[in-house]
Amino acid sequence: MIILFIVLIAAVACFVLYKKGVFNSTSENIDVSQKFDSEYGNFVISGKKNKFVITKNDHLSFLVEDGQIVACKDKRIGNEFKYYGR
Amino acid sequence: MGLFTDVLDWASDKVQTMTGEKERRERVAEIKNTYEDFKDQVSSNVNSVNSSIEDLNGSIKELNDFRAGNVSRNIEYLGEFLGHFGNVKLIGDYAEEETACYVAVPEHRFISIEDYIQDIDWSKGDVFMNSFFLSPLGMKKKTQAQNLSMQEQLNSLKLEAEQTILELKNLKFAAEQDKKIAELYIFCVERIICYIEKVIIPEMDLVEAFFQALTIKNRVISDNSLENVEFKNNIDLIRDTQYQDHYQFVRNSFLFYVIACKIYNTPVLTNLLKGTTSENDLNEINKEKDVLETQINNVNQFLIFKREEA
Repeated sequence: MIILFIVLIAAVACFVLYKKGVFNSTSENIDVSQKFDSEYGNFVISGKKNKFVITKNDHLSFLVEDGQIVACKDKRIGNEFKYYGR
Repeated sequence: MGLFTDVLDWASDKVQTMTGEKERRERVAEIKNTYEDFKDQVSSNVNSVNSSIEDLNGSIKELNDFRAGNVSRNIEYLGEFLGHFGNVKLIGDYAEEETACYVAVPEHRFISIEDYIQDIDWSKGDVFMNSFFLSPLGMKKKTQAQNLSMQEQLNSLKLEAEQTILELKNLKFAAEQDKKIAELYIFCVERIICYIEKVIIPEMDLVEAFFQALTIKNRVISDNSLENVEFKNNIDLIRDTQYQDHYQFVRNSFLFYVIACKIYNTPVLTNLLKGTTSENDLNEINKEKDVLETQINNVNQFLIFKREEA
């Protein structure tokens, strides 16, 4: 009886923690920052896996959210991201 | 003595009138005046035409310098970018625009008229010798024949003068038309090249970076290394997607490349100015200018960022 009660409490606790996202995979929070130089230009990637920015040659930037490029920026024009499809 | 001189002058005048000598001298003077007038007007009109041609040639030289320098450089950049998205035709060889020829003063014609005037402008010695050998009656016949011939020559000279001046005025008008056409064409060329340099090339830079970012993004998300990454610019991939504007922009840029190549490898202005230009030609090039503006507006619709063209 007591064991059953403990198992039940543990299950409820796990359920609550799951809802709070504690068991979510942390891969989305992995830091992906790095630099990459190529014959085509110098690229800087900065941010976490679920949201990062790719910048080429210090002035062209692309915002990636949840695996999609959602916006771009040209620092020669301004500092605001322009969102695609808007 | 004074009375005697007056009587002699009166008698001389009557004789000269009777023999036709007075009329001959008047005709010669008229021909000389008409010729001087003709020569002045021709010289003035030729200078005026050549002044217009000089302006036109100045513009053409500037255009050639611009084409050889700016046009060449920008086509190469644009061709290089577009080459990453598809096949581009070769630029072709540079073809210089020809300058217009200057109008020459018709010196040979002037010499011919001056020679004629010399022949008809008898000196007092010539008159005396002719009178001595031909007798008064013979001299009268000769002078009257000369007067008739001079009248014909005078009429012919006046007609020639009118026609020549009219031709020169037409040349002047044509040169001014050519100048307007050249200015309009040069405006279009500069507009196109400036637009390529300030707008198209920077936007192409962005589009190419987009495709590179796409590849990098996929690698990063799949935890792959960026070493030896190959970039592909498959423009069809983004057709009918949220990135459609990039697709349309690249497509429209090919048109500008083709136009720029034509400006470089074809003497468009020389071909335009061959023969006689008319008001119609000016209207046509004005229409082309409007078409160009429409094309630029079409491309502007697909720019992600509005860029300054000046």
